[in-house]
Amino acid sequence: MTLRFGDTAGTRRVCVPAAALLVLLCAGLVACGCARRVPLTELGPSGAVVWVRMATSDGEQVTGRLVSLDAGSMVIALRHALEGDVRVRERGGDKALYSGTERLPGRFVRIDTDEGERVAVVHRAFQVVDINSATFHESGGERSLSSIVSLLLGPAIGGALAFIL
Amino acid sequence: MTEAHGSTRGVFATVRLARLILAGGLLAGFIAMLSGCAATSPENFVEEPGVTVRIVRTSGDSFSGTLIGMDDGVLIVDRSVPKSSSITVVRNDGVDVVYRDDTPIGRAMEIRGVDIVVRERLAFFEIDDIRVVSKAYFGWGTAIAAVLAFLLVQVLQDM
Repeated sequence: MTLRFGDTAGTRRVCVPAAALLVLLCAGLVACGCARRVPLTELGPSGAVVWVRMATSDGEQVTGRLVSLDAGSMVIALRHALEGDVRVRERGGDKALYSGTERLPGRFVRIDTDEGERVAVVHRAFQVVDINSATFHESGGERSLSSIVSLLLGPAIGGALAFIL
Repeated sequence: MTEAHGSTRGVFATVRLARLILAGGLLAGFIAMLSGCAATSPENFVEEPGVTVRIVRTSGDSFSGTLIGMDDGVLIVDRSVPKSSSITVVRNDGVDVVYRDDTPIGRAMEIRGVDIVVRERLAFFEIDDIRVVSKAYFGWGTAIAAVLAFLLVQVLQDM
């Protein structure tokens, strides 16, 4: 491409890509800042989703969302479908989850609706010394969205800017 | 004559702004639709273990890695270590052990062209701060893809 300075079209060819690249660079930097870094001890209220699948030294296997983890304990949010004899009861002003007459371990948090089913969420704490092994997993939705966005959003922005400018 | 030029520039600027707003709206709608496609049940998680974390050791150095799990109260983290003269890999009883300056730092999970994926076992007392990297939808890959697409469209337009 021959550039002729003073020519409007030529000048536009020289200036626009630089400006557009600058805009893209700024957008990239801003986008990098969208990622959040959440301490493992504050996962619950942050909205960041980490799943944990663990086995205790007693042989119990548990899968749930990680609420917090530190050197002493791991707190996991567990979901129990409210069906059959599993229900939330209030005794002495304290709500708890019961299966029949037996109180299920954990602190009752709330009732959610999952695909039409009522689900009770309880937070259960485990001592780290009682945990035999655990694996940590990403949210499936977040992983797939991340792939889609990084694969399509970048080229879409770049292509759109080139067309516009 | 000057007034006519100014008027034409104004029209072009308005058209460009309208295009910009239209493209932005389309992109926003596109992303919103994708978000809907990616929405899954709360019970859905990736089977393969691994969560991106940023770790600061009590010694002061920090690094990014993948938190795999916990075993006997010790966190298991995979991290990339660049190959260098201070890094050696020694096979011991069928296990590739990575040494930095003759100090073992972990097991080599994968030896690649420029780096080694090392699996380290970190006790809690060795960790000053550990943070989960969440919602990292955008990154340098997205930015680079945007620049490449921009240049590609420019080239195609010039042809």
